[in-house]
Amino acid sequence: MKSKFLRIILIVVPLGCISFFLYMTFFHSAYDHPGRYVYLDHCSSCHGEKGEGIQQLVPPLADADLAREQFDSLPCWILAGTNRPMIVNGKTYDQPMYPTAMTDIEMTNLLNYLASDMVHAKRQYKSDAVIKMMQRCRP
Amino acid sequence: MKWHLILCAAMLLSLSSCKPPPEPKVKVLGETLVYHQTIDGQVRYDTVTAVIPQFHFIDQYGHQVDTGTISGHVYVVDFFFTHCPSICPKMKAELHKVYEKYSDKGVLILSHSIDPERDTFPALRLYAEKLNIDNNKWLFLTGDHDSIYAMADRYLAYAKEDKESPGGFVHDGNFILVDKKRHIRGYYDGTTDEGTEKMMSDIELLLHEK
Ligand code: HEC
Repeated sequence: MKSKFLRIILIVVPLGCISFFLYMTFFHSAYDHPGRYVYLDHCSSCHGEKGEGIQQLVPPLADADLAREQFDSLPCWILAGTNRPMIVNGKTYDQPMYPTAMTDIEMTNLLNYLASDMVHAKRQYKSDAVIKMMQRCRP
Repeated sequence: MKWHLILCAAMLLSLSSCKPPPEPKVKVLGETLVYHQTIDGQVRYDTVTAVIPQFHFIDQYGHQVDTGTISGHVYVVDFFFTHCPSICPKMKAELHKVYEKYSDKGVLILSHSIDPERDTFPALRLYAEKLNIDNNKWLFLTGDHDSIYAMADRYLAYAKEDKESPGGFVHDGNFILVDKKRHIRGYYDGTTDEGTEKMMSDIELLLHEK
C-alpha cells in the first residue's frame, strides 16, 4: 500500500515538473513579459508583432543591429521621434517615426522586453536608470 | 452481385435527391438609388445599386488613372496619408499581403492619399518604392482636394482634415472591396489580420464572377 503511494508520487511529481517547464518555455515566457503589452500598444502597428518591420518603410526590430549597438538611445528615439536615414541590417530606411509618450515604468518594461526577446541586446534596466535616461532627452 | 447493384442504385438515388449546397455569395453594398419613370400613365419606382462613378486621379508615376484603368478588375480601396503616425503603416503591411497574393490574378489596389499638399506624386512614388512597389498593380493616388474627399464620400469612407489629431488628418481603417462592375461588395477592418483574411476569401469569390 505504502509503496504504491510512493510510486504514484514518484511518477506524478516529475511529470508535473516537466510539463510546467515545457509550458513556461514554449507558451509563457515571451508573451507574458509586461513589456510585451507596451510593445503591442505602441510599436507593433509599425514594427510588426514579431518586430519584422514593413518592407523598406519601417525597419525591423528583431535582431536589428542598429538598435542593438545604440540601445541606450532608444528612450530618446521613442520619446522624441526620429527623422533621418537609418541603416538597419544593411538596408536604408528613411521615414519619420513620430514621438510616443510613455511613463518610466512602461519604458523600463519595454526596454527589458526588447533587450531580452526582440533586439537581443545584453542589457537589463531598473527604473532609476531609465528615469535618468528619459530626463536626459527631454528638450 | 445483385446486392451490389441495388446498393449502387440506392446511392445514385440519394445523390440525385441531394441539392447542391448554396453557392457562397458576397452581398452587393453601397447606396441604393431610386429611379422613377412613368410608363402608360403609371409611376414606377425602380431601385438600382449605385456604381462607383467616373473619376480622374494621378498615380505615383504622374499618370492619369480613371474608370478605364479599373474596368473589369476586382479592386481594393483604402484612404491614407504618408505622414500618418497611427494605423496607416499597419494597413499597408496588410495590403502588402493582398498584393503578394492577388496582383498576379488581376486584382488592383488603389490607395488614395487624403493629403494632396504633402503627398505629391513624387512623394507617393517614394512611398511606393519603400513598399517595394514599382508597377501598376498597386496605385497610390492623388488629385485635387475636393475630388479626393468627394470620392471618399462615394465609397462611404470616413476621411477628414483635423488639426487636432496626430498627423493632421483622420480616416477610418477600412479596406473597401469593389467588384468588376464597380459595385461595392465589402468593408473590412484593415488594421487586423482577421479583416484581411476575410477580404481575401471574398476576393476569391469575386474573381469567379463574370
Ligand atoms: C508610426 C510608425 C512607428 C511606430 C508606432 C513606431 N516606430 Fe519605430 N520606427 C519607425 C520608422 C519609420 C523608423 C525609421 C526612422 C527614421 O528613418 O528616422 C523607426 C525606427 C525605429 C528604431 C531604430 C531603427 C531600428 O530598427 O533599430 C527603433 C529602435 C524603433 N523605431 C523602436 C520603436 C519602438 C520601441 C516603438 C514603440 C514605442 C516604435 N519604434 C514605434 C516607425 C514607427
